[in-house]
Amino acid sequence: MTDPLTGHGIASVADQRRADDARLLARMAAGDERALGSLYDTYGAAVYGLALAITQDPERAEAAVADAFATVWREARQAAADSTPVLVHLTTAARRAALASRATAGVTSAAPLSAHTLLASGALEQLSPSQRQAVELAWFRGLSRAEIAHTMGEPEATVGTYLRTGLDVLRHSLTSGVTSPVAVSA
Amino acid sequence: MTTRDLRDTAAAYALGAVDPAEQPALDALMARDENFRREVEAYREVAGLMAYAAPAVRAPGSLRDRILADATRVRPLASAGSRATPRPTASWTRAIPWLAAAACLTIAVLSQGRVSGARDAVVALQKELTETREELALKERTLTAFEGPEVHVVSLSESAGKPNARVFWNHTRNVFIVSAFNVPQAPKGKVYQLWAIAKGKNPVSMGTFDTDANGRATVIVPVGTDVAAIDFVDLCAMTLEPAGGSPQPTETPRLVGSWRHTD
Repeated sequence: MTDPLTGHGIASVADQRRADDARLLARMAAGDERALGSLYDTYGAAVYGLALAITQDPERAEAAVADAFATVWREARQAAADSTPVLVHLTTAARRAALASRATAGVTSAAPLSAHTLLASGALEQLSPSQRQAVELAWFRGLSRAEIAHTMGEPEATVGTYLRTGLDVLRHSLTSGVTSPVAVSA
Repeated sequence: MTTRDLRDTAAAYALGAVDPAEQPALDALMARDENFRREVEAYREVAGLMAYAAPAVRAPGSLRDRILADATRVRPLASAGSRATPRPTASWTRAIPWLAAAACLTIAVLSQGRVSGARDAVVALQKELTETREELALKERTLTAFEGPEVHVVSLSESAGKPNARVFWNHTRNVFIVSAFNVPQAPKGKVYQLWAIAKGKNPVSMGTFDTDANGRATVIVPVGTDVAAIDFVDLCAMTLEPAGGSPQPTETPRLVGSWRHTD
């Protein structure tokens, strides 16, 4: 598949992105704050969008994003030596901070997802309604399998399968640009 | 556990959707089971991409300034596993059950409604517990990076002196593990840089690192494609270079050694 902007293959674009990220992390590990600025320019909006979807509060979302970038800055050397993409480090830290912020604000985990969150993504459109609900309750609300099972009225094992097959579909969709549903074994 | 069960659990673990009671056992599985770790890392990558599944919003312009201002007050850590603030690193394994017990106790007290504000304590303890578990997982990864049949090692020393550093090259995992000792912390604006040297060819950078105030460092560095492309690396050398590293050494190597296989 070809990237419409660059004319390069998607895989080579991803490889280039990783190489660019690795260079930024190496500079950050050496204390170069401009590299941190470049990393923010690349991923700041996406991480902020995630934090806002979880907290539903701009101020708390900002704090979560600042916490995430501070974590990656502080541990840039470890991140550079790790094969995990830097976006995963950022989203993991931002999500954790955002969920903790929700808890301190007294927002219950069972609060319904906003229509804004539910309708946001083309990628999530690839999921069945059950897969999508399970993945969103886990990722945006921080619910466990047992809590999701209770919320959905489904057995816990079924929820586990929804999560796994949902991520399999998303992996295919997000990494290959596929726009139609794909079959994934249950 | 069947393969399907393992993958279901890996997906839930990557999404942070396992029950707290399951977490310690799965953390341990993550540290020792390569298949489970691979599944989790693949699913975590998908979860990371889900940041793009959130609504497209413009972040406030002041947020970038705030992040950069925060960065001026904290320097990146000098070596893997250490922290900017003092932490009970020597007793981290003992700390986990105590942190978990403290979190449970606080939750129990909170459920009885006896302590106001305990929610913050629960969140702080849970965050500390998660960070400690991640630290443990990092240490486990560091240890497993030393294992395997395809490991080369080089001892770096001043001319004929005692070694000051060892570098392990794990070809299976495609990483270097740098273990330095009695190497003074690099001056401000400088870093140590390692070089792979093949006879008759220019040195190729293996990466940079710095030591802590005690002159020690344990760092995992991914093997670059230009280093991996060298047919046979004869020597490893260490120089002091400007921050960010240099394309070629700018001084005579301070430490040097020959590669050999581990026994």
